[in-house]
Amino acid sequence: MKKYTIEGIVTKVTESEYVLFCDDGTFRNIPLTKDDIPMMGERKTYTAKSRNLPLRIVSTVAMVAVLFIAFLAYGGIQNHSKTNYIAAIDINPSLEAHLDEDLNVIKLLPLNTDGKQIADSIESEGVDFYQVVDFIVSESVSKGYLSVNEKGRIETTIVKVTSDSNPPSERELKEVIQTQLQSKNIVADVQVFNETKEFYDQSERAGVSMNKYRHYQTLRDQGLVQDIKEVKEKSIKQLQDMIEEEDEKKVPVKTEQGKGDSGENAKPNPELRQNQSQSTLNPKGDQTEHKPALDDKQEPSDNEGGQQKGKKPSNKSSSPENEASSNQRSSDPPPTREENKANQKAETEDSQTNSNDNTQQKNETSIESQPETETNAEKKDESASKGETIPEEENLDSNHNKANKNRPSSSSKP
Amino acid sequence: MGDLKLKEILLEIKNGNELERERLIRHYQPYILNAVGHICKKYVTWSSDETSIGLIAFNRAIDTFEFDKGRAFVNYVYLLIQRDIIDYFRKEKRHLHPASDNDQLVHDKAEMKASLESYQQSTNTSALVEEILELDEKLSKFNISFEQLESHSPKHRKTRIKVMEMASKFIQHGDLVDELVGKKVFPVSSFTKRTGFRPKSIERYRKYLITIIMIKLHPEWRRLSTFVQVGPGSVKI
Repeated sequence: MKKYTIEGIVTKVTESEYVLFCDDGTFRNIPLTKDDIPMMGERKTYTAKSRNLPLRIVSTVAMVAVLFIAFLAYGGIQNHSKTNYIAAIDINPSLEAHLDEDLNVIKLLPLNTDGKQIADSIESEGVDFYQVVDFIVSESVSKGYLSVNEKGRIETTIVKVTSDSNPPSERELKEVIQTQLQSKNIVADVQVFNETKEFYDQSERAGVSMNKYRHYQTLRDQGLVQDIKEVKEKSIKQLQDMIEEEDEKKVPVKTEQGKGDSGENAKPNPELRQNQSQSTLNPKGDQTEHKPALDDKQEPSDNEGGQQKGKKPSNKSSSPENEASSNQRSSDPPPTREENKANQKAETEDSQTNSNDNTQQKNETSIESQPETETNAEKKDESASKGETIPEEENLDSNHNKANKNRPSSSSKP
Repeated sequence: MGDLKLKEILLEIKNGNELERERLIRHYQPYILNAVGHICKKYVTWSSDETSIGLIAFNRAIDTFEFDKGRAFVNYVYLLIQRDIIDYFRKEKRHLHPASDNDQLVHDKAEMKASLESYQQSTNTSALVEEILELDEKLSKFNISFEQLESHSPKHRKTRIKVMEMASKFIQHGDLVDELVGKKVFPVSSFTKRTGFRPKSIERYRKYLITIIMIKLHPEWRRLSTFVQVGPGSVKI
């Protein structure tokens, strides 16, 4: 280390230092050594260590220190806080627990403000995961997120980050939650899911918990939400209610559809029922009134069934056969309705036997409303007269292109 | 304090002017304290026994000093203080640890040698001590003490030269000097208006600047003046 000397005269001696009036005109306070009290006016030379190190040395030392600290920090992270599992818990408070290989919580991250309140009130680091879940449920009850009066919903999603240890047991997790809920006399749906790291990454990118992201996917597929922001503010219970409401809506629509057909068939146009029962391909004008409703409901359900890929059991199907069966299922009425329907069907069947002329008339009325359809129908009639077999075409259409409304059906011809 | 002035004051004191005695003691207080501490080789305060002995010795020096002997007053004071304190230590040691005659002789020789060295050194610096004491007295009127000046001293050579230049320009304006000495306040605004120096730099080095101005205002302090000369280096005394 560089040393430099300060030379000057002593101007004052205090208890701890003496003041040197240096040759360069400055004043320097020099620490007083034991047994050395300089005399005023005495010339003194003081050797001091230079503090001004060369910049190159300082920068080198700083760089080495930074690298060393970074290396230590990286090693520390690698050794001590390796996340093996991530568990997202949603009640209304959303929390995310990172677990090590022994299923002890490394860190508990709040995903919303309610979650922060819970996370702040829990000592979670190094604690067993099940115990932390127990605390979370208990705290949620005590803070009023779960109440006796209202049925709650608790969803937990576990993601395996590395595969070198046993994952948390779903059964045990449910038991822990249920036990805590029972002790507080609270009723709640408890769901435990397993997801992949990719799903976790997607949810993280979306900025919501995995449970909410799952609901978001469902709601988006149903067309109920367009943006993730619509989901962020809602609780899991609210999202589940939205899905259930939508499901409930769908069921009555399909039921009404079945009912409407039978009603219409029963009362003014019994031949329509016949047309629909004979083939689902009837594109006639009277049926086009029902078709949009049918398509609106059925097409998304087809997509949904395709996109969900078994994530959630769906009663909707993509094939026409399944569709028909779903219609059949959805139109299953209660016993009183069955009786009515049976009566109506019987009436319809009776009327079908004598309704060829009426059907012709009805077709004419529908043709008036849709001239293009009529021309197509005429073309079909011509082709039919050329000897094409009607049942084959019906089967072909019913199997491959049921949604083609404009295509005429030869079954409509008497 | 010049020799003539000191001679007048000592004459007045001998004629019975106790106020002047009091003033002279107050003027030499830092020196008395420093001398006692130096002789005792420890820091002493006004409550120490050694300081009281030193003060008594100084009082006796006022009464017994003779200019005709060609000796500096400060050196005489130091000699008396040293002698009295050594006597005090002898008494104390004899009282507490009665030593043999042989030991006592060796001890006395060593003390004598040390005191002679000190005396020789103090003889050389007596004039400088007088200047330092006078500067200290002047600065105390501005509430400036020497130990404060380190933090107010410019660290870089260029800045130091600039401050020296400021001090030189300041003393050229008599009215500003009068204002400074009379009101004990540095006329920053007047000085900056006339010279164009930045008020910020004046304020930053104000205490150091006043010290330099005080030294420059007293060219009779020849030894101290060598420290504030603008140039590549000051002359060692």
